Amino acid sequence: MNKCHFAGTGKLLQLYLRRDRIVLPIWVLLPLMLLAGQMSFVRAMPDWRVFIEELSASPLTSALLGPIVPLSIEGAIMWRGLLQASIAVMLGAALTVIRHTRTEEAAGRNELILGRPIGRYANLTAAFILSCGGSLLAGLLTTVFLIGNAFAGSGSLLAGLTLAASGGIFAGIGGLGAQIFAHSGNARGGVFGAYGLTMLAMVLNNLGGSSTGWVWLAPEAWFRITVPFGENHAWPLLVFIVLTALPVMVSYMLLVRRDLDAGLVRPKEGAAHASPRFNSPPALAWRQHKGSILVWVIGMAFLGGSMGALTPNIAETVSPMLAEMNAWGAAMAKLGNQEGFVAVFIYILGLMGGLSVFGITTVQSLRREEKERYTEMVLSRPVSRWKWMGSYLAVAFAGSVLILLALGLASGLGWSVAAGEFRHFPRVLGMSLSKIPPVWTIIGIAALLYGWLPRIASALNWFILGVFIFIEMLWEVGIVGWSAMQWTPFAYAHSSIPIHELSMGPLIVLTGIAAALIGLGFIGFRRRSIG
Amino acid sequence: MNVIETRKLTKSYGRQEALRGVDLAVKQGEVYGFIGPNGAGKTTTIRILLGMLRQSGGEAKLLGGDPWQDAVTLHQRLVYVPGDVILWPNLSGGEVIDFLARLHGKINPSRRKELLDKFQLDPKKKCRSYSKGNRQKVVLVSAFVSDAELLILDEPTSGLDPLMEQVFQECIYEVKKQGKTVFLSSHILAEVETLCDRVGIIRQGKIVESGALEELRHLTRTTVTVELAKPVNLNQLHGVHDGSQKERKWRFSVDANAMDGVMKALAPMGIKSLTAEPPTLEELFIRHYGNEFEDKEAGSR
Repeated sequence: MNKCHFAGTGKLLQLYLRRDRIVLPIWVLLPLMLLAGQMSFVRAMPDWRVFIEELSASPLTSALLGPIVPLSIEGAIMWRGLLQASIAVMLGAALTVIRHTRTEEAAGRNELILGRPIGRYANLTAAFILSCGGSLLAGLLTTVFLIGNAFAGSGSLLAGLTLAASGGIFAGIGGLGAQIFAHSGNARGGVFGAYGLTMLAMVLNNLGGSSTGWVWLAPEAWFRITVPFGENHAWPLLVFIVLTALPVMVSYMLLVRRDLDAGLVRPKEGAAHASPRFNSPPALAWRQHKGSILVWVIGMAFLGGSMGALTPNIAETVSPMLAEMNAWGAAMAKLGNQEGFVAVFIYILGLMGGLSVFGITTVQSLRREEKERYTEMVLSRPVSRWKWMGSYLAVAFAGSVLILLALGLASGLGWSVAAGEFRHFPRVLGMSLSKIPPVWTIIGIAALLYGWLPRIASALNWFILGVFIFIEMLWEVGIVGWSAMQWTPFAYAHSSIPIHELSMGPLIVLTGIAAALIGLGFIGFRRRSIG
Repeated sequence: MNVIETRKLTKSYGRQEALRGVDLAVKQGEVYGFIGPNGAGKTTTIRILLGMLRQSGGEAKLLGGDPWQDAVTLHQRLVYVPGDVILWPNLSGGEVIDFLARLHGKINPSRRKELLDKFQLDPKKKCRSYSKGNRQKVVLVSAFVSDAELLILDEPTSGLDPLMEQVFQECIYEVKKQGKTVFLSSHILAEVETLCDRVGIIRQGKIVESGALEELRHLTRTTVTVELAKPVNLNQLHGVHDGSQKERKWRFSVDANAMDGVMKALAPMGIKSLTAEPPTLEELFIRHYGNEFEDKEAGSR
């Protein structure tokens, strides 16, 4: 490699730091906050020792999160806190690389840069340095935080470096996605797909007793390899670095082999004439989103099907202690481990972590259409604002139903086929479909924000989702009661409520609230300027 | 009847005043040129007329209706070509043309083919891979294929090559022959001169001149650069303005109606080289409004 290929990397890095002065601190500090949160949860419990021993022994929580290693307060904080922290860093690092490479290239701004004395690798290199540097910083801050809380220095350092390594490999995966896909949205989709696969690898590892080879494919669980505060293995860090180097090297190789603006997949020619049904705003909205809906359907069906198929491997032994511990434990003891496992993963995929993201991003695409001036193109024709916005929201509603249907069918089939009996199938399908009203409510909140506060809608949306998830976490460990949970739409189709006990009334009310939010959002949109 | 009529139209974004009282009257069947430098308020005016922006004050009427309230019914009767065209990257040009046309109703296939041939546009390519000029062509085809009675065009020729500009002008003539009204915003004076019956000049959110082009002739001077063999003072000639001399090279502007006299006076002086160019809008503004214009522009930044 010629040295001048890297010319200007430092200057670009400065530019990226300037552009990311808000985004970067968020994902660098988020791990710290998640760990601090987990620490305060665990310490707030008078009998935390009983708590972690119980959770570690429960087949259900082991399947979802793995056993607690080592079985100490440090281990309990790694167990959930470092897992969440790693996920935050992984996604932050990968999306940062895409933001500065493919997004810039697709917008044509990269051309401005490459026309200057800037080497061909400078852009990608600066993006990798930023992402890996951010991950390392997140890791070191974590180390300092843990030491500051009187944790052992070696374990704290190892925990921080393991966290940084998980971000590093996803920076590489983000770089790879940015080379393969010509569209930044597809590249981001690729990253989320890769993350979904690591999640599956983690569950496979948990079910196999938590020390199988699968764990190497799940960077969010790499602390199970290094075991900070336990066996303290440092050598795997070297392997992580080699693993990280792989996608990074391949990204550089692809970068010089592909054309500017192109991905690896050559764009096909389009049709000279539009199909006769492509004739209305709903048709346009469907056309814009059908690809992403299809990917969601396939992804959710795959994850749900695999998790469902793994369900019979979970032992049904329930310790009576779990039920005593808190509301969550009691609910899970009532459901049984296998049904509890299915209820929890459907809740996470179908509502909290999965479909709420689908809802928010789909509604946010309205803002993107507006900023790119596509909205103006359509609204300057005889199309009412109601029809335009309504078309996209209809696609969001219908899309979420399709995805939840796929999730429910695949999970139910997976479990039924693996168990050899079909009595669970209707219940699993019901679990998934019961998430429709809360998901629609999330879409409603997003529509309300888009209608009235388009500029800050995106940030506010994610913040509100974050608050909902935070309340959920507080409730799980028993810090807040169910009445707090009821402020979130999650409570009305919650995993802790057995599906046959779920009441229809609140779900109908929730659907009404979603409709009202949409109505209010529409009023705001009709009153404001476009663009 | 006036197709477009605005009175004392204002629009402000916070403290920044984009429009400070725009008065327009566009008659049915005419090609109206709406010219002004970048940032003068052309696009803001158009977006108010389209019901995308709400005016802060004043009145706007479009085809006899209210642009904000009656947007949908009014848009049935007009087509709009935006200045800065970005199209859905995953759709082909042909699909965009068909889709936009179907929002109005039916599309005339023979007219569509004729326009695609005229503009030499390949409808199969995805919009992502079109150049700026080609994207512009997609929107122009989609505008001319419709039978709307009013065309609102915002700097429609930006990115087109001269050959295509020619095609564009032919299309405008054709549209005019059919009795349709065209509202053409531009910052290229020459384009407006060839096409428009009447013009309105906007500067810093205000209409500063309007009327038939003949009435505005005082604004359209030609800039001449000439190298002469004999020494001469050209400033005394009738119709010559702002003459400046560098050795034997003269640069000055000439009123359109004085050109003949000036050329006759120059001919015996031994012309070594001569170029004549139409003034750019900015030049014209600086000349017409003096330094006041430059100062204000600099101040507003």
